[in-house]
Amino acid sequence: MRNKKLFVCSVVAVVLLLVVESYIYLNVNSSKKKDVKISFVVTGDNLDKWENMRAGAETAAMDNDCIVDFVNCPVEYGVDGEIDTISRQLSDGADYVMVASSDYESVKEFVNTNHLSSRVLFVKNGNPTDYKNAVIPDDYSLGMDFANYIKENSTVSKLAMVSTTEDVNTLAMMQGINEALKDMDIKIEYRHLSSKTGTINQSMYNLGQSGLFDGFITLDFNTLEAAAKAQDKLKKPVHVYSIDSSKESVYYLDSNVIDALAFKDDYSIGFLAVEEAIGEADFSKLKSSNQMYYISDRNTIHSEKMEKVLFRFDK
Amino acid sequence: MRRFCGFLLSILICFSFTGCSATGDNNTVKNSIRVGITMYNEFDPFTEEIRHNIEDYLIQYQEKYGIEITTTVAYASKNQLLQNDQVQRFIEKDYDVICVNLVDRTDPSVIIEEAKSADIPIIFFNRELVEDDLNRFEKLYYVGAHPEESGRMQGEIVVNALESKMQDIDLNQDGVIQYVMLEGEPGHQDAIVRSRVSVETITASGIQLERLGDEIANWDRQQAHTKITSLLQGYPRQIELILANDDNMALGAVDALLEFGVQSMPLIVGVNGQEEALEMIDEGLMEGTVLNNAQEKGQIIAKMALFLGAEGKVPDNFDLVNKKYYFIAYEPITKNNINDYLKK
Amino acid sequence: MKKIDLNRQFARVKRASKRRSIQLIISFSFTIVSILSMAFMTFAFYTNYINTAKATAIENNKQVIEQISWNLNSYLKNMMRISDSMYYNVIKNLDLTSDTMNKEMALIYEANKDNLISIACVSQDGALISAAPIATRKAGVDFTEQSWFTSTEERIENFHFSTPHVQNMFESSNYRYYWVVSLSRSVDLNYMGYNRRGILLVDMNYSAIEQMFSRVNESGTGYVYLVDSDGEIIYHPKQKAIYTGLVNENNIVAATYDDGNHIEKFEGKQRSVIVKTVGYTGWKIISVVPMNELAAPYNQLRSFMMIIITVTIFLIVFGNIFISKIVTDPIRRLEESLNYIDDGKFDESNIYIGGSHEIRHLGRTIKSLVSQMHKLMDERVKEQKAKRKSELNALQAQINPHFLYNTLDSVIWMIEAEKYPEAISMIKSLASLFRISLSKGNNIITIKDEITHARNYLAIQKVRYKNRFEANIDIDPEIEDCVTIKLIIQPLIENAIYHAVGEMEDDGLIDIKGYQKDGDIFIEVIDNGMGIPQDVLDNLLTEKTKSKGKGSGIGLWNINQRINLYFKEDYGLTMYSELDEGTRAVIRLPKMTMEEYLGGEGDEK
Repeated sequence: MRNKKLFVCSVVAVVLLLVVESYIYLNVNSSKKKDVKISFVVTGDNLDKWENMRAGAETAAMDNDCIVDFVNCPVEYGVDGEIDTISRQLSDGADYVMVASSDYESVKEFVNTNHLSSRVLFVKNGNPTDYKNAVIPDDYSLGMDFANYIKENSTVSKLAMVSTTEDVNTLAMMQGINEALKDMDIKIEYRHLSSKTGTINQSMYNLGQSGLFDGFITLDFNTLEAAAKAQDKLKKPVHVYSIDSSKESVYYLDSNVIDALAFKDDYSIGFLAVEEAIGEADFSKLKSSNQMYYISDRNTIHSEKMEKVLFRFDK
Repeated sequence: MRRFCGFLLSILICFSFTGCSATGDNNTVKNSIRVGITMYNEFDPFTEEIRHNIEDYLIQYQEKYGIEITTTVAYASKNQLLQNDQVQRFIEKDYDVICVNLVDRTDPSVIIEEAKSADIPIIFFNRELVEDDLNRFEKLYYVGAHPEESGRMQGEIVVNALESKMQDIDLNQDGVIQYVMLEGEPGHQDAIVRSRVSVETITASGIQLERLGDEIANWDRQQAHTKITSLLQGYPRQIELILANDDNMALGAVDALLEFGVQSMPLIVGVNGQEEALEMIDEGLMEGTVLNNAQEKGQIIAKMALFLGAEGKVPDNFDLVNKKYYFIAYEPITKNNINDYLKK
Repeated sequence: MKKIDLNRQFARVKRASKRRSIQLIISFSFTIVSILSMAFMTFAFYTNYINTAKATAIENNKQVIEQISWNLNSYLKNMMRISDSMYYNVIKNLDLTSDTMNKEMALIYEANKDNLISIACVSQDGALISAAPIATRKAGVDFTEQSWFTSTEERIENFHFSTPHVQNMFESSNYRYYWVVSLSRSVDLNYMGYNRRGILLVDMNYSAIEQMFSRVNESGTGYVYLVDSDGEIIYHPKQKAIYTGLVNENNIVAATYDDGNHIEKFEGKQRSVIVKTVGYTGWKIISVVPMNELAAPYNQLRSFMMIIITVTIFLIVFGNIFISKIVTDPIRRLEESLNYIDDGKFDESNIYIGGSHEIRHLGRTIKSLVSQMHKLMDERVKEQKAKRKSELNALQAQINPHFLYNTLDSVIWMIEAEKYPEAISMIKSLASLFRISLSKGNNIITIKDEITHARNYLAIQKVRYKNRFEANIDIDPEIEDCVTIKLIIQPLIENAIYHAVGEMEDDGLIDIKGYQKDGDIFIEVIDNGMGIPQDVLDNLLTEKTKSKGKGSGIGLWNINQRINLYFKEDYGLTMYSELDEGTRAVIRLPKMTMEEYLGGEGDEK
């Protein structure tokens, strides 16, 4: 009687063991973990601008079983188009959506009202302190560092700070720059310019020609372009200091059009964003040690490290 | 107790499957060694002289040290692939040490990898491979000479000669020496460095030079002859100095000049101290040469080969640079000291 | 609660293991041996397989590396050839005061466009002499400060390879910059016979190198990267991440490795590293595969083996139990059947015969042993019984000499008193008594004869006791032909006379009854004497109390014994007595006629 019970017990145990093992076996068999799908939703008509970020994201995705997808959202569709795209990505099975939006506040509101903050991460654009999982360079300290660099490395006395956008990032930069130059001899004046191509070029030229300023700080790509164009025509060239992350900005720095560049490192941002989403173990250390921007000038642009950071590798 | 023994036995059996016996001790001196020599080309008198010396000294050492030495020589006919095969065959036949006169000094990879995997020492000579390659395996050695030295000496011979007979040499009396450079093989370190250093040494001493031609004659007497003949057609009575990377080409130049029937011989300087060149110097047809001591080279290579083959290491009293290089000093030879070298 | 239960279970197991049966021993030891050997074998095969597989994987990687190395080598050689031909075939023969090398350079460039970004010749002071493709020199760039320029002057007879860098010589178009690896060499430039040094620069397209590696890195496990002899990274799939500090690589250490495979531990991970040096440049191709990835394909195998092992262990355990059961069951059953014998039940038919030949033999042997023993014991019992019977018979056969003497004395006395008829009757009775006593030696006689014997005896005794008692004999005629053991009633009568009625003055009465009841025969001898005290009564039927002195000397126990010997034990003699009332002796016998007795001896033991 007791033997019978024992026998039944052991049979049951063996069957259980077999079930567990075959489960493991089948699991191993189809061991390909489900790939994490990460979509980057970025503003702009051309994905080429985001090539660096894509490279960084893909590098991070390389050994993490991730699929990285970049979706651009043309400027003309505005923030509604962006939100649409985000929603579509989420419903299409993206595990995470990285947003580099031109209208941070609206998207933020959308995320908050729909409680998506765990799946929608803000990268590059936005306020770095709003979300823990945002991967956004600290624009305030970028502004400070850049202003301090200008202070130490140039003789400019009257600076015009120009921008066509006034989003949270630009404002933070301006704050940082103003803060750093507060008690200095350098005068600084902010001009908000319209982003229309004709107007902005003319405005920049006028600013340069006026003689009121011996230097520009351009806070975005549009003003940088305009400043570069103006530089050619100006009788007396001005110093241009730019904050940007485009390959054009690197070109302008390399070809002496601008004096110094605060380069936001999209590559690192993309890399860190993917790592953030996947939740790499020693990630926070990495994130805090990487400030995601570099300040470079003509002397350092071809230095061992800067060269590798600034210049894109095109096949 | 018996069980325990059985257990031990089974463990022993296990170990015998996995483990294998240690390799034998290497420190024993071998009684017979085999030396493989592979030469880039059999028609280069200078490298042939080195080869000859290596063999001679190995025979001498055979009696001196009581070690039986078998030497095999192979010629690669200027084909690196062929030379790779030859080295491979030496390694397959378990030669103790291999002396290699590379065909392509930029391409010793195959040889190095073969030697490394078989752990056989290789002595490279005369054609210097880059340091990165030489460092790939600790049993690679190079025996040669600093080419800068030969270039400098060659330059100095010219400078000294010109000091005394500038007038005679400077045919057109323009104060500028018109010269022709006869270069060895393209890419050969000796050719590149000698050509440059000799000219720089001469110009550095304040003598102005004008190059009439820079010809590559590949260490070949016949080619040098051809090149000089054609140059003579372009510049008859204008060549005042012929700098040859080696004596063989210098001799070709002499041949061409004599054939052409120049009225006064230009200064001809070679390198190596080939016997025929020494005779020419003695006759005054050549100004001088730089002794690239093939005899010493052969001796050193033979000695290294012997010790590497027999004891597995180079004797400590060998003056190796970086544990890999042995450089032999050059000696300038002119008419002044020709008697010390003639028919020794 | 649970723990106590567990303890109890443990104790039970311990007890069970102490009482281990042969089945337990066999199945247990078989199981252990087979599991151990299987585990050993599995382990050996598994490790061996894994090692071979790992070695194969490493070997495969090695081949991949060989392939890359070969490609890279031929690429670099090609570049060196370009530099060689540019120098020896073009520059050497030029007088730069009058000639340009642009055409030749453009030709060579065009022929090798895929692998090259540009070819340039620069004079010692940094002036650009010629370049292909033709491009504008970038303003404000000092070539003499660039690394390819400075390194070339170190060893003029060699080629120099730089690390990858952005080409910083020419104006870029479309914001495009080229990554290149510079191959530079020192050249002699001829200006109207005057020698000047220069540098010939071949900028190799970094993409070409990148492509060689990325194709390999896209497939398979691990990755391959390239470092120069100082460990400086030339190519790495995560190059940029490394430069920005996002990823670390063990490149500086790896550059010191010899060719071949190594195991290194980097950032807490074991990795298998294969190193291969590229000729001339001293570059090292390094393949890295994390150890766990190397073994990853075998996880499946491992779990598959676990399943196999489980099933096999299960089969082994139950198979062993089953087999040992088959083997040991006959032994166990044989053992069980022997238990009966232990208990004293000698019945050979119980002994189990079955199982293997040996056990059957064993069983048969035991069986024959038991049956022999059984036979022997039976014989012995019979012998004993016979002996006992003869002993008892002999005892019973003795007629007390006193009785004979007294009787004969009485006869003498009668003859003297001339009471001849009485004397004759007496002697007759005596003769009859003896005749029945002898009864041809038969121990079994009919009740009729026995009663006759009792009558004769009574007749004699009556004479001797001068009719001081009466005796009534009342026998059911039906039972007269039934058998009885001889001389069982007479001793009882004798007993009654001596101990009861003999002593009485008169009115002594002895009743002898014979009847049948319940299929048995009962013969009672009842007297009205003073009875026998209980303790005496209890001893009467034991052997040691022989009646002394008077009487035939045959004890009551003798009667009982004999009945018991001849018949079953529930037959025999029972005594009842009450003081001052009398004594009753009851003999119980089976009812059987002489024929039945002789024919069947059915009730005999």
